[in-house]
Amino acid sequence: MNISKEEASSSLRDIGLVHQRSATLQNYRHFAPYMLVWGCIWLLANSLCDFFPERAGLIWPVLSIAGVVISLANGARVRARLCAGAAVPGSALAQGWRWALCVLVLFGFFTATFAVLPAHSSLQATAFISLFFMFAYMIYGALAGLRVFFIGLVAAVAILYGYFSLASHQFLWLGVCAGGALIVGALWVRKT
Amino acid sequence: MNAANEIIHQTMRLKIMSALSALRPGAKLEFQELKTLLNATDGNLGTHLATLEDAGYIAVEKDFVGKKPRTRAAITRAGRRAFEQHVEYLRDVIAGTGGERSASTASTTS
Repeated sequence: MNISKEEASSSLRDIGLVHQRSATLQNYRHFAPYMLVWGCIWLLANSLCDFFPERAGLIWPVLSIAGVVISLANGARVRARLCAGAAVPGSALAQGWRWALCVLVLFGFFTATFAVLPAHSSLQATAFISLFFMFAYMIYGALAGLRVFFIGLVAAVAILYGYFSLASHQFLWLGVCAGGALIVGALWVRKT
Repeated sequence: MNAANEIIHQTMRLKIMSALSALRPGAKLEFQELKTLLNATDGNLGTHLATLEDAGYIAVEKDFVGKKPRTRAAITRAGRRAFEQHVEYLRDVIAGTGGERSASTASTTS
């Protein structure tokens, strides 16, 4: 079988393109369930905070813990499925502690941040945390798939608009815009 | 020295192997996803999947989701190895250390 340099070069170009598209599809598929879960939590938590502002200190911690548990369970389910399908080192449980460590790091980061730069209101704290995650989405999206980047960008702009421009129902705005962007985004990236 | 793999080198099969090799071990792509990724028709894709499955390079799994039939494909270890060797061969051809020499040898002997 004779293959010319031009043909080899063209084949390698095709391989690169398809490989990249397939990897992006896989990233979208992996990321979508987490976006859906956190979109729903964002929407629910901020909406509840808007209607019951005196309970804001309870609503977010409870729903955040629920989100972490659901996300960890989903990650464990996916890894267990992969381990069952092929020889993948480690088990779902063995990998679980790494995610738990990530959650602790995030908790430590926000605790330290608010110790150094105290938030003047729960709205300010919520907007900051929301923006942090939206910018993280943008960084992830820049590396893994541009759809995630644009979802993060739209949500970040919406958060900033609501925080600086609205006089009332800012929590509701954060919930609908940031949560809604994540939910719509999750459905969008799943549909390829 | 790596050699050309005639089964993998066909354009559509090369793309199928490339798409499947990008997945994590054990992960699968559905028929419809592959069709979209590769801009292929049902018949064309089905034929080439069967060829790769016969060669042991991919594993095709058919099941039902509710009442809807679902076909999924995953690359096998042998398939991943063969694909990587073929890619190395293509790089050798471009570098002028493999394929060109084989090709010139073939033309001299013919």
